[in-house]
Amino acid sequence: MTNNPISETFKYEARELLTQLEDALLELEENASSIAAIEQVFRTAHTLKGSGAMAGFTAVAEMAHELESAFDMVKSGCIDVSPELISLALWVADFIKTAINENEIPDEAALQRVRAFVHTLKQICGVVNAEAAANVVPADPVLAEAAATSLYFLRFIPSADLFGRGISPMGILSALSEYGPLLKVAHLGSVPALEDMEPEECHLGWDMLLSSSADVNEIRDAFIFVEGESEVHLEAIAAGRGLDLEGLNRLRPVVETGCDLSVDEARSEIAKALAKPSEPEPSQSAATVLVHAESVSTSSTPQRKKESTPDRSDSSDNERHDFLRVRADRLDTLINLVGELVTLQGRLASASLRLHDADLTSINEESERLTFSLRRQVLQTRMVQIGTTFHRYRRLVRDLGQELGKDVELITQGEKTEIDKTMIDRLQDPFVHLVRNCIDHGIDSPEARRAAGKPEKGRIRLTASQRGTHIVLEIGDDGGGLDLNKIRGKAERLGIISADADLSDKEVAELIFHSGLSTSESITKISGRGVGMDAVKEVVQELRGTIEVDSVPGFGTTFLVKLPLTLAIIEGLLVKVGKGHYVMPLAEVSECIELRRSQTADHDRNLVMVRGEIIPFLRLREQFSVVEETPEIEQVVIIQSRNDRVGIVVDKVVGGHQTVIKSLGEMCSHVPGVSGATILGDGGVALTLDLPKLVEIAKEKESQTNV
Amino acid sequence: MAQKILVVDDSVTVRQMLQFTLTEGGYEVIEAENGEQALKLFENETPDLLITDLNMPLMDGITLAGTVRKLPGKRFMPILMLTTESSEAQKQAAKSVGASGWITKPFKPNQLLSVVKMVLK
Repeated sequence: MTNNPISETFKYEARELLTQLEDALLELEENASSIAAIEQVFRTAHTLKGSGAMAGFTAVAEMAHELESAFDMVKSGCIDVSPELISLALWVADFIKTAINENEIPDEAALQRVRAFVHTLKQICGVVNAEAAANVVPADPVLAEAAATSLYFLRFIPSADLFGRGISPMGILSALSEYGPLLKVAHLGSVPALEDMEPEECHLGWDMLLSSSADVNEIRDAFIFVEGESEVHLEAIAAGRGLDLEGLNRLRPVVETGCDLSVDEARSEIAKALAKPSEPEPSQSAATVLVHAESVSTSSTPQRKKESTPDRSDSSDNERHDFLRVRADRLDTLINLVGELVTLQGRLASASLRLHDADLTSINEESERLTFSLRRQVLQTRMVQIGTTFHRYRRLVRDLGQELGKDVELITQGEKTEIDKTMIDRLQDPFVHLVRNCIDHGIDSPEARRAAGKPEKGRIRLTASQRGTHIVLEIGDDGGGLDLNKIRGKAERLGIISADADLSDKEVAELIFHSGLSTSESITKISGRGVGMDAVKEVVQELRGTIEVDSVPGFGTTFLVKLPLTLAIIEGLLVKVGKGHYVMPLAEVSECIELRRSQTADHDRNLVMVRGEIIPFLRLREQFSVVEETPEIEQVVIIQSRNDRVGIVVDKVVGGHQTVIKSLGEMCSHVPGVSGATILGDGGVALTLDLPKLVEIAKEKESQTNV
Repeated sequence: MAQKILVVDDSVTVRQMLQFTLTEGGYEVIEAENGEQALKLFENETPDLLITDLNMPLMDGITLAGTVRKLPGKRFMPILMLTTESSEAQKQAAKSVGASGWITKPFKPNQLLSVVKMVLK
């Protein structure tokens, strides 16, 4: 293993994990039944396995896998934590430590020893056979030999308004020629004189002879979009008697004369000509040469222009900058200090406004400018291009694919999207898990893919993009999609949902984020045994983000992770209710309107009409039990949450506010609707509102009053 | 230059599948989540073909197709609708606003490519 940045990152991470692992093992030595410690060992081994495989430390990954298997059996209650197991686990920890510290070549004998030990455990548990049942390759399907070709007669008179729907008859003709040799003759009789010609209408028609092995219904597919309006006549005139292009061309004169006849007459003329022994016919009229040339030049395959996967080109983007490694906690301190400074600047601004002193005003302006550029710069230091992390996944994808006998390629987009370093670090484990899941459960075997008409090479797409003040990350595969019945069945068995629960497909799919639910029936080394999806969701939520799953049968599964741009400082909207101040993330606010007492006097429903749209609202005053008197005119701040618009009623909208979010501490962290606090310019405190939660509350209340 | 296809679907998985398949077929793909986003894209992009889902939040596929058809320079642009089941009513609704054709989900990659090839010449 060379000293590349990935292995460096892994080493750093592994050292931390090993400490946790040892702590947990030592705790187990004291108290063999500590469930928390067992979980800890299991999770740590799981992470070591994943990151180890990703960083190319195969031996470490294998060791960790064995350890994970052993503790999985402990977790399932099949074996107890024995002193032997603990010393083995500690020995594994030491092995991994040596492996990463000295880059040493793995000792095959050591691995064998661990494997043998875990194997014995497996035999005790009777799970040993579960892992072996994977690589059974079914025989290649024998392609049926092409059936004999038949000769078809076609007449196609497009409706005049065909172009108006964006359809070109040439597309249909070239689709037809995909089925086999095609002779096309244009009807020129109905083309008007140039001065009468309506250029946006179609005046042509065609008589055609097609020699193809396809049946009538397949050929009819070429006309699916024009059926009904256009005249389409299609029938086989000589079954099993297909001709090559040359043979078809000999019939050209007959087809040409047939253009002016009715379908039946034209067809019988052609049939007659077919019955006669054919002789070469060299003459061609000028009218048909044009079409003839067209008919030959069709079967060119689409040029394969591969999207440039930016794995190589990336290196050129990585211009040589000078880097300085700074400890992350120093950066955090810096950001906190800048946060304080921003708050102080707010106080300075309000003081300068109050005191009307020319000197102070100019100092304030200058200070404001400096503070905000400092803030921008400091936040910038935490932003890194996400592309650097995409590299790791490419390796992971290749290795995991090989292991599972699946050919998988990683396609990435949006490498240049910048994201907070803290978030990248926190998201690493979850994303490894998601990628693993995509490969293991998402991508089907090459045989299954071939049967579905997909290329054998599976594809994983990893994209990042910035949308407003959010970063959206997508991880998707082009496999078979989630098996919703299986998920539902399992959730019912585990009692997560009741058998008669009325759930949409989307809701069923979201069940995979429930802890303990994993539909993989065989245990592979790669994906988890129910560690994972719930942990993934937890991490994303801790980062104030959301995760969704989208799955389409036959098309694949995609995970959508939406995250705020920064964690520390946000643009907020400061509002007032009674004497208290509150801050809402400005990004989620869509507009503010007035609410007069008279508007709600005639009904007691919490609904307001905005440009014809009925919007439910929630009075913050009621939610937080504010006692001061309600003003005559209140303000409704309308917020957009996913696809819902909900109003939050406040007394007064104060204005924009640079918000440095502080957490509230244990005591108040569970108050619904409040996510933190911030310090105002005058030294006062404002609570930051958890808008998604408030939207939920508002909708719930409204649906209750509805019944 | 590769022909450009605008793909509109609220399911990222469907968009992803379309992107994979169409890119492989040699086309350039741009994506939008719903009709509104798609219309915004038309301000700066000139796709050669529009493929849109029917049911989407904010603006559905029929409205989108009808609106696009009336945009300047888009009278003859092929528009394909993605339908889950190709009911006659849906086909008629799509035709009446100027859609060129439809693709029934689920489809296989080569089916998609042959339909696209057909409408793009």
